[in-house]
Amino acid sequence: MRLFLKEIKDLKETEVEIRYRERDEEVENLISAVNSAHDKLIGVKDNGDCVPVSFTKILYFEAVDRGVFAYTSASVYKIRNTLYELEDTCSSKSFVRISKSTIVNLNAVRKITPDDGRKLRLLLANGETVIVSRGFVGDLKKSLGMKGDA
Amino acid sequence: MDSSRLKQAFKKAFSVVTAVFSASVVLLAGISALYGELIYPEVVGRLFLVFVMLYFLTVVRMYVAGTRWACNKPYILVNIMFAPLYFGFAVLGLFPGNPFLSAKDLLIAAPTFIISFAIAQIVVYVYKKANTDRMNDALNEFHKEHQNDGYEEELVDGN
Repeated sequence: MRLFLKEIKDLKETEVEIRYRERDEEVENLISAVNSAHDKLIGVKDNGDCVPVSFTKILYFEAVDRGVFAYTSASVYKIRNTLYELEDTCSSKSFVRISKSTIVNLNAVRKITPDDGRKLRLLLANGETVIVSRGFVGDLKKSLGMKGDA
Repeated sequence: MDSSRLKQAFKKAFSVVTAVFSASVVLLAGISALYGELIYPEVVGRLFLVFVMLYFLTVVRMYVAGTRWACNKPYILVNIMFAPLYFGFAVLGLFPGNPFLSAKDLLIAAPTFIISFAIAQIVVYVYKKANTDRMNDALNEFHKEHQNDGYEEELVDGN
């Protein structure tokens, strides 16, 4: 495998082109490496260490007392972005806002069940449950490709 | 015991119970105006005490509803479990010394309330469940379409 790097000042965004004769395991690894480099955000651990966190490992984001936290099955990371910024960034990555304070990864949702009123419960991959507020049920349905507002 | 969840239950229960208390006072005043009967201060006092008891019961219910055990069960289970307690608290406050209500009435009212409440809860739940079943089907389709960028479980070391 040969690697070419070229600096082009006019480019608005970094571009990666992979040329291959056959799409084998090596090429797949390259694709996933490029994808994962793009799909990460910086999270701050309890001890203050900054670590890259892959979007695919995040169960949900929650705003608590003016801070935004990303929850994975193993850890909680403080995130420097606001929930609004995350909502914009994540909308193309299977994340959807389910309440004023929560954005959930739909790929991490295992089951949807009814809750009191017109709310819903989402059972996540780690066994945790998050609540979908009434006002966001329509958005969730839309994200799942369903019609209707409630 | 999860203190933050308990604090949240105290706050949420307060807003719910004060709203219901206000509504019941307005209702009582409306009935009083309609029939031209006076509302004695002891009636309002008794009503207030009932709602104080119901407030603490609501706090417990909300705390229990937020436990992992309850979250993995249909939400109506907690409602049905607490219905007899709500009824009991209301009876404790309204029945003693009330010439209009007798023990015989209680024997009819208690099962009628609990059974009709449970049936109503189950009917509503079945209707809602049909809706969420459709959503679960859509969720499965969504997972199939997004297999490549699906959720990956994080290992304990953060990798």
